[in-house]
Amino acid sequence: MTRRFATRITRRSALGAGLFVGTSLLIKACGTTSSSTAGSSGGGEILATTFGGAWEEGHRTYLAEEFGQAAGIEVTIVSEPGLEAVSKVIAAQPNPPYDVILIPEGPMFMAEEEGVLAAFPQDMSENYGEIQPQYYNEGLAPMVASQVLGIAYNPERISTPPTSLSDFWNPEYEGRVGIPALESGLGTTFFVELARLEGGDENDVEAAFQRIKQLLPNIGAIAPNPSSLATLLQQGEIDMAPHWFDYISGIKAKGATVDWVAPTDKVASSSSSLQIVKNAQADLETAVSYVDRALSLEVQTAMSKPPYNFLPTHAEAPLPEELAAKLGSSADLKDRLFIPNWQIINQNRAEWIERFDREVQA
Amino acid sequence: MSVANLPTPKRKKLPLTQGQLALPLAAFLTLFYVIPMVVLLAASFQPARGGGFTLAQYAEFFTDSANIRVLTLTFWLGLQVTIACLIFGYPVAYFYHQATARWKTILTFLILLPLLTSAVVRTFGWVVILGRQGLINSLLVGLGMIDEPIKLLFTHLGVAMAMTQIWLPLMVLSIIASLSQIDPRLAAASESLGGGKWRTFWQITLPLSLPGIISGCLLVFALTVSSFVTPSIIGGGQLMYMPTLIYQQGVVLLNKPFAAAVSAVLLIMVLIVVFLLSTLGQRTRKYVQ
Repeated sequence: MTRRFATRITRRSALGAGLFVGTSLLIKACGTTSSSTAGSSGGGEILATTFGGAWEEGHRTYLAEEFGQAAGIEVTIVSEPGLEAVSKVIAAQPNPPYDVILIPEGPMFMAEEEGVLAAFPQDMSENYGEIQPQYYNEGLAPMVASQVLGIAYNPERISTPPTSLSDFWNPEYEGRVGIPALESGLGTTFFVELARLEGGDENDVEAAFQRIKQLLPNIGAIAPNPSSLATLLQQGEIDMAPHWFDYISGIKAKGATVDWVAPTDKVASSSSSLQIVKNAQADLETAVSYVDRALSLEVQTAMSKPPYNFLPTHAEAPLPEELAAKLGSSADLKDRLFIPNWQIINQNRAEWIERFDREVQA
Repeated sequence: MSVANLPTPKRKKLPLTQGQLALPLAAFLTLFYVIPMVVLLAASFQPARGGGFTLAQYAEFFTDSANIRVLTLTFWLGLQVTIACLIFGYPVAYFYHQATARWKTILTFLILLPLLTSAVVRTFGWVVILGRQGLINSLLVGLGMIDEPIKLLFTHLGVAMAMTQIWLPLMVLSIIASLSQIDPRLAAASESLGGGKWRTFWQITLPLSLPGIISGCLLVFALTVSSFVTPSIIGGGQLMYMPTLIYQQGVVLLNKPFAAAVSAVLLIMVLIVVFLLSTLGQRTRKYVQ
């Protein structure tokens, strides 16, 4: 039998198989983009992460490209969710894969606790002083943008727009509500906002768990992340879900049948920052300049306009117009914003996730 | 008999022995597989904070009923997908084996076609098919078989269906390889001795193709229980399998020792199945010879 097998493998067939496998891999490789380079040939280089979607598009266009050309630095942007970036940096501490990482508050405090973030030298940053007070982080770089949580819905299937997160519990929406899993930042923000609405806080979420259990008949899907939640909304799998304004306004501009309303009560938010990684390959000056560019009025103004619509952290940068119309004036916004305390959340999050898996998931 | 021992009078003797030829791969595997595996296993015996040796991670895994449910569900998924792949894959492989050369070319292309597309793309295709307004529900509602769309997405059944389609080519290819090793004279001999087509299939073809079935089952089972993308997209946040649990613990909660322990448990589950199927494979190989 072995002889039969051996004599059947000819040079031609081996070459053919090799060519087939090679072509297959090439076709597959063409379909994936993990990173790309912007900027020009110059002194240094910097490797920074960003989130996918609007974040990546905005950072490539207004941050990486312009910074690279102005400073003569080669900027490589990698699309990587915050938790994954932190996880990789922790795993390779002495020789981290990135110089600067874009991370939300939760992973930022986790990374700080693990000692993988470098202190931000304020005096080297021109725009440090221009940031609104609520967006500073002690010892670290300030936030570059914020996202606000509201209610995303399908206007074709829901004629009366919801006004409050408590509308999710309306029996009319049985099986039509989607929620994000607690592993995602969106899911945790929604959960903590729910606790707040029920009179609890980041340390007292018992009522939020009870409310989520009561929501089970209405839950059509628990999505692992914001993008899959938005996909489900577009596909008609669900008709209503808690979601970020920027994300929903972005897909609405691209033609999706979705709309977003701000709850009449407080509006929960989550901010993200660009942090310099300890032991980064890029020199500190380059890394600080890159973060400083993200804090600048130009970049923040650009990122607050459609299709990005992020809430700026620079004191002078305007609110996204559409969001301002939905929320009222900027002065009102300060009073309406609810910024969860992620330092407390991080201490309790593992326990919440495990309980959520047990009580809420199938 | 091995390939190197075949009589090759016209060829020069290879200067390297078989062992030396395997050295680059052995070095590669040691560096990128064995060492990381040792590091992983060592991590699973560490406490969540600080150093030392502890069995706490394993104790925590096996004392929590939620984790046992995840383990059972993952094993069950592997088993279901393997059986489904076998049921759907064998007839395709058999048809290929019986087909003419021209058909074989077309079939080879069709069988390999799904492998040219990324599993992520195929999974998103399944999201569209399984949705409330997807292909299956539209068809069933259109035929009047159901009034309201049934829930397929975010169900275990949906995950099993998608995984079956994704890993089916591997089962088909393994069985084809095995069927092509069968001496066609055996079937002819059976026929000349009065054996009908069914009898020939049950008593000759099927037993002789067992090595292919076993290797196909091994591949499909191991790949299914370790899949991450498809279960997380089709299963959503409501279904938890071992790879999703590893991701949750390792990346979201940064609990590396527990994630390592879950990985080790998954590895042991796969190794047990590999051992059982390999033992079965050894027996069938004796039968084939």
